[in-house]
Amino acid sequence: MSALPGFCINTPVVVCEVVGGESILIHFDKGSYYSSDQEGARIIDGLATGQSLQVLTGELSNRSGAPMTSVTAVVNRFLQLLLDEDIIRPTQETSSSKIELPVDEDLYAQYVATGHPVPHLETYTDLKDLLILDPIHDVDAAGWPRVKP
Amino acid sequence: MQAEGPTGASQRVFFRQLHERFDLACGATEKIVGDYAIANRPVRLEFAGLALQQLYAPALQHLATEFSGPPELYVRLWDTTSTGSLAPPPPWGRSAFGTRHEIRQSQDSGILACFDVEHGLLSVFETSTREGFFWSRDIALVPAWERAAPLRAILSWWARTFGGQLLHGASVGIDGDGVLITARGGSGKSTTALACLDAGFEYLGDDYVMFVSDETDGPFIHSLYSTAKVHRDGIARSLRSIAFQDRLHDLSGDKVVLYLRNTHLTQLRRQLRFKAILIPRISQQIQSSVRSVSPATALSAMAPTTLFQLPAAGSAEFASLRRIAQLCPAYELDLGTDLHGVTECLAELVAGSSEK
Repeated sequence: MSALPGFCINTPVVVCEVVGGESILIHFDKGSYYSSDQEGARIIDGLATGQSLQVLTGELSNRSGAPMTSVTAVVNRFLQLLLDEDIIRPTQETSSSKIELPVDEDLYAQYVATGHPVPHLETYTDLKDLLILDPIHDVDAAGWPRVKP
Repeated sequence: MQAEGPTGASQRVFFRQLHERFDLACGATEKIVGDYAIANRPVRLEFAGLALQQLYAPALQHLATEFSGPPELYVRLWDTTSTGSLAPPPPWGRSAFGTRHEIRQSQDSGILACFDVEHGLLSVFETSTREGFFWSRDIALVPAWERAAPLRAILSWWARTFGGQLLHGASVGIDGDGVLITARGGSGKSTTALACLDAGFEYLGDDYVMFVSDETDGPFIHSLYSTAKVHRDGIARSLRSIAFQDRLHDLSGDKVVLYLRNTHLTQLRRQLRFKAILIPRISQQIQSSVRSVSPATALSAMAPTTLFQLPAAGSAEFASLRRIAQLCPAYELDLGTDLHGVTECLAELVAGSSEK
């Protein structure tokens, strides 16, 4: 885990609130919003408040009783989902444009076998049409954007 | 989301130029002043000419009032079609125009702005003076839904200055106790609100309302617009017993905007005590049913649809919505086809909430 970069919420295009142990996230540029279960919310809230991945993984290991190695696989898969949705970003510049987090399937299965909930993210895209995908079409003589005639 | 772009100084120059262009517009026609009480606060709208006033004032007319002191919000509105006065050139570059109509800019000027490209509508608000400008390039482009709920962006920015929050939702009530009905468009907000109106409920609005928590009296929902948008078939289905013919305007072909001031004045309220959140969804069942849901479900129903429609809204508004979701019990309403049953459900819910 220490070889991985740290991550933070991709503010300000993403906003996040935790209520009743669940988290709700909104991605303003994509027009998507998300909800997570309690385990997902703990990770998201942890990232939002600047906790390290080691701490978050350790806490989940304590709650689930699963070994750190298998919890790491679960956390990595959840983080990858958040990365793919552009919800989080590395706290520091990375050399590669696309981050791929390692997930060992056997270790992942080991965690699942504990029966403890796997962090889950639900994605909603039904409000995308409220956004303008191409805000600028043309400009008038005064410089104000307008729809191309 | 921060934009490259003009300095605070150049934005203040732009704001001064808005004053000049508005004065030019007034010089070409007449100035019409309307005073309103919005969220119990004095608001003054100055229209350059009748053209825009006739489009925008009717939705707010139920809030018309008289006051003697200075307004807490002062908005000047003009259009180019009827006055010939253009808006000053924008000080922002192309990349500043965002996907929610927002104009992304530095916050140091204290000026907030948004521009509806498709309809040529500019809204600008200066936080420190609580002054706003609204410009329409061509009033022929103003859509019916905009006339039904005018000045949303400016009212939303202004609400922030006193801790209020504009919400995408309807609200109805009984004896001063109100329910916030919130969900994405097409979920049955208007149908529920109008069924309740038809049944004699008190009414604040069907699409946008304002939340304000009063330190002494608690949380309230305030009316913004005395209008309702409904599907044409919905009118026949839910509102057969009353005349809604004050003013009907086409809305995207299959919806109409109803102006309720002349037909339901006695049921229109300026505010209701905030007692519950209701999340409707269309069901194919005949009977309606209500069940309790978590604050997270309420926030999920209320926040995305509200924030995607509010230019420049961000984490502060999201936190405000989270607090609202935690204030009152929330319920999901499976909206049955028997609308009489819907109103019975709501009456029970309001009565139950009032006892708590």
